[in-house]
Amino acid sequence: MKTRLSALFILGAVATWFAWQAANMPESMNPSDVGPGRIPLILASAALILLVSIAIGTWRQRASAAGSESASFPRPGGTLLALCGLGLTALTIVHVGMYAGCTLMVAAILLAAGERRWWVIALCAAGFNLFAWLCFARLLQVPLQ
Amino acid sequence: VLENLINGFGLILQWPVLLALLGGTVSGYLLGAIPGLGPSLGVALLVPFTFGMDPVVAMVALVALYMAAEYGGAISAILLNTPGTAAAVATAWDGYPMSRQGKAGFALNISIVSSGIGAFLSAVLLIWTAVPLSEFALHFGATEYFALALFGLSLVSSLSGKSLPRGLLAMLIGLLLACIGMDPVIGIPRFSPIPDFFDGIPLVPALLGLYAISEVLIMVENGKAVTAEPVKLTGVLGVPLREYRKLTKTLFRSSAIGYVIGVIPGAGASIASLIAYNSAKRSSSEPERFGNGSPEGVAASETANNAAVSGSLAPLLALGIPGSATAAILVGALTIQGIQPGPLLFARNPEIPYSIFASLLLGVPLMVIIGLGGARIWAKMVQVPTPILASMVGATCCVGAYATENSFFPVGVMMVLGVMGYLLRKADIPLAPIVLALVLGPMMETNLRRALVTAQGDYLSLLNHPITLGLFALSLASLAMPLIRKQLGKKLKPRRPMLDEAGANP
Repeated sequence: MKTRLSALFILGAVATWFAWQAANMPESMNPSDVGPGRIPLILASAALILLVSIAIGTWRQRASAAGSESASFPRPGGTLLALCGLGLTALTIVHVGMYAGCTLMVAAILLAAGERRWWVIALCAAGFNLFAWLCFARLLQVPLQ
Repeated sequence: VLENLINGFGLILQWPVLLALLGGTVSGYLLGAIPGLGPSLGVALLVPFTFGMDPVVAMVALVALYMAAEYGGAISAILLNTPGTAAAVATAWDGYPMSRQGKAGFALNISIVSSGIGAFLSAVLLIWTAVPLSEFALHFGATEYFALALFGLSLVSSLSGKSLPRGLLAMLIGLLLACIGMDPVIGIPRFSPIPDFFDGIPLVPALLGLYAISEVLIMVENGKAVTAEPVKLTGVLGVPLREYRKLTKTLFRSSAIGYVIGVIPGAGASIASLIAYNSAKRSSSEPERFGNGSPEGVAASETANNAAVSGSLAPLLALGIPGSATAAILVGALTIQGIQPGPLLFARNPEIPYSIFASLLLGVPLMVIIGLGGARIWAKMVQVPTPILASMVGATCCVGAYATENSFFPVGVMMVLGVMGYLLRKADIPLAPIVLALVLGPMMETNLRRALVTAQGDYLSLLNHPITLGLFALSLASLAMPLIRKQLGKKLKPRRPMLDEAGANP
């Protein structure tokens, strides 16, 4: 339940940011037009109302016997490693390029999923880079940096 | 229609298109056979490969993949009792018992041939209905398009899974994401911290993130746990014709059910297969065999779920409304090619819909031949180790997102939305409404504001158009449908034991 409430709290923060930004947008010059901020403001407000009602429902479920199910993370270490791998790839890919970035990503995901044989990791990374070069760079003419 | 259809056949009988048809079909089988992948993710993964292609080649490949992946879900359902797609749940009820009885090859044969028949009959129905529907939609203005987008969004009730509020929340998240970028009327940037966001959230990287990256994280969570025992396949090709004679009625009835349910946006292949299964059980002379290895059950489910694919293409091509997450991804693929789906598609780019029609008709025999010929290969796909699969899917998404704009910005968007998708799945918030809203949001906002400017800000003018009123009524009915279904279910429960038995099957 804590996971769900945390997720709802983060979504609430994002919806509040959208509502605040939308409320500060300029009015349209045309009086017939609702302007750029009105629709996002309505959407963000509706999202906040729904979030509050879902959060209350989740909180109430906690008290009842039926509400015992919760979001589970069977392998938190592996998931965290995969998330770090994705984040690291997103941050470094601009500097190291597509091939090195993909190698990093393949290795991170394989390690996170429990693969420990280094030769499998090396083979997968090399195989994928070969596939990407053949398919994208050669066949589809997409210049991979 | 006939002239355009002949032109469509002329277009697809060229080597690049035939290769695309073949490639799409094979990829569809491979991706559909792996539990957890399926048509949405498969189509999203193939989109980046189609950027440099001619639009006809690209769309033929994507539709072929959609069709074959919908069938592919039956492979793991029959061999492992693990449906590769939601639409193959009913297939597992009889397919897996057949497999346990040593008739896995027979079950695969029935499922492949039934899928082919369903796909062919529904393609004929698609050609028959989509063109008049698009001609009718040519009369639509901004008000009607707004109402149409609203109707599309109201289908969130069908895509919400267990909880409507969570589905609505997902839709609002999608609509807010769709607001990022330049305002469609006065052209000022909204919610855009950096200029890269001025063009809005790139659709394909967003879909790759939401569907594929979140799935990669789920696979990582499962680790090496998902492995399958090899299954011995015999008799895939040697099924006598008399077995099919018994199934004739089921095949025709399930095709019609599948197509009609498929046309209703949001209903989809999974509902179609369940209704067709239940209908086959009701009219069968041996209803007791259902759930214990009845070929009729496999045929009903597989015919209907493939017929629903063509059905879902009708609102997409004729109205520009995606009725499912996979159809929303197809909209993204068309948009990238510079083509707007909807009624004008038939007038401006007739080669696209008619080549799709022709490829559906021509692709069916190909799908059956490849399906039967490669049955052993598809069966082996269920044994691919999860870590390798996850890493390949993740890295393909990375390259695919980069290829959308030849820049690293979409890769970042994909990663962020991937993590977001994973967390939303953990919070039981469905992803399909987000995808639907990302596609329909801009259409809804732009047309609402245009309609209001034309009517000088008079909101009531929206109700002056009969088509708009009809669409508003349909939207309300669609939103209220889960409540109506719940009430009806309570009342009809004692009178409809067949459905309950079907639903209670393992």
